[in-house]
Amino acid sequence: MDALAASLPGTAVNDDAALAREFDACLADCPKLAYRVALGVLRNGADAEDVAQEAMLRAYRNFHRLRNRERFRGWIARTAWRLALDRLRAAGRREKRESAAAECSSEAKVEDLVASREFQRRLADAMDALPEKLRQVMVLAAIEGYNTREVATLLEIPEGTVRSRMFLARKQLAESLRCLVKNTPIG
Amino acid sequence: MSCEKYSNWLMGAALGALGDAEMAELRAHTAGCSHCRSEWETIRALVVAVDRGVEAMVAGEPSAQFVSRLRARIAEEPTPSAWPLFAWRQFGLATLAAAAATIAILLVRTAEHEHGPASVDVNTLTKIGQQSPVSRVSSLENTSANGNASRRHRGASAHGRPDFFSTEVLVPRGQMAAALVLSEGVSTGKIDGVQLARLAERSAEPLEWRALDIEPLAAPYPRVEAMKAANADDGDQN
Repeated sequence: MDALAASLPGTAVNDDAALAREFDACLADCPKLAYRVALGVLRNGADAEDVAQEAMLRAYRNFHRLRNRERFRGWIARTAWRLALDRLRAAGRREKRESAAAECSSEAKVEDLVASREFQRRLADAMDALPEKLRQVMVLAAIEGYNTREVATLLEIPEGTVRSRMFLARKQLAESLRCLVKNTPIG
Repeated sequence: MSCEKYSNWLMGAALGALGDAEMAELRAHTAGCSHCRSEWETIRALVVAVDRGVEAMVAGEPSAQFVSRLRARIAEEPTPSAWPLFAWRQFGLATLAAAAATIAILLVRTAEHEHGPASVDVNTLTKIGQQSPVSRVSSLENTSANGNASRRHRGASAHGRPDFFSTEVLVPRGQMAAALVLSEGVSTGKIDGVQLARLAERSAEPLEWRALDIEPLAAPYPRVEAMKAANADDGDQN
């Protein structure tokens, strides 16, 4: 193979090297994206890292097929999302939590909520209850700092669709958690 | 009734979905209604808490060993030179060589037929195919001194087939349609064959990797159809 490659000066070998360099450049940014997407689904660092590894490995194997490198991040995000969902389903880790958890049993100051385990657990439940399309947009939006254009680019869908999905997702999440902050104004 | 109306607006307002006029109306109401103001502040804070909660959910970095682990796994993968790209490139070179040889032969034949010997050197172009280690292109006229080509040529002429059938070009499997379309383009003047031949001569130079969006082929191609018909006739006579 080396002899064959050598007989084609400046073509395949150089292309492969360029491709390898290009992939190397992607390692600066994409693993974090893949990891965070997986984390948004799995909520477990070790599992998320495994999924991110697998996503990057698949990216390596298929890098030459990606005609448009600008779409690579989107490809990675979607792959990581799909792999994370597969892992979640395969492992049966998506716990069916008791519906009693939905009852409003406590009220708390809003600013304390984010840090509270109760809020985090309820939020995780509410996220799990979201339709997949809404959940995906919500996770990517959180990663991208709620930049709808970026999310639209990653998912290759119109920006308006992202906005409407984000609205529905946030509304559903807020309504699910409203009981936790019932009549508790911010200080 | 007034509070019920504005209460229904609160979530939309907190999510930024309320219009300017409605937002101003809501603000005016909450300024004078302590119950709705309290409700508004609660919902607004809740939405912020949700956003922050989801952000916290996805916040985090892969471990410091992530990239080194990935590189170790990549090292176990086939080497980059074994990537399918390489095979594709070989295939691409073979196709390019086949197309170049086909065009050159067509040009020569057409020129000979109409104006005597053509200025394009078919041997130069055939070398392109020979330089490519995977090229399967061969012109029977060039590969040997055997009489097959000329016999076929004479036989073909005897059957009244067009001149371009007189030379055989072996095209890689699956590339015949492309080669025919290319030759059709040259013959009809849609493609500048001489310029293409010059470009093909430079194929030994480093090629640039560039993704192409290939348009679907539009059928029919008159000369392709003619070729098929001629082949069918030939088969009948044999």
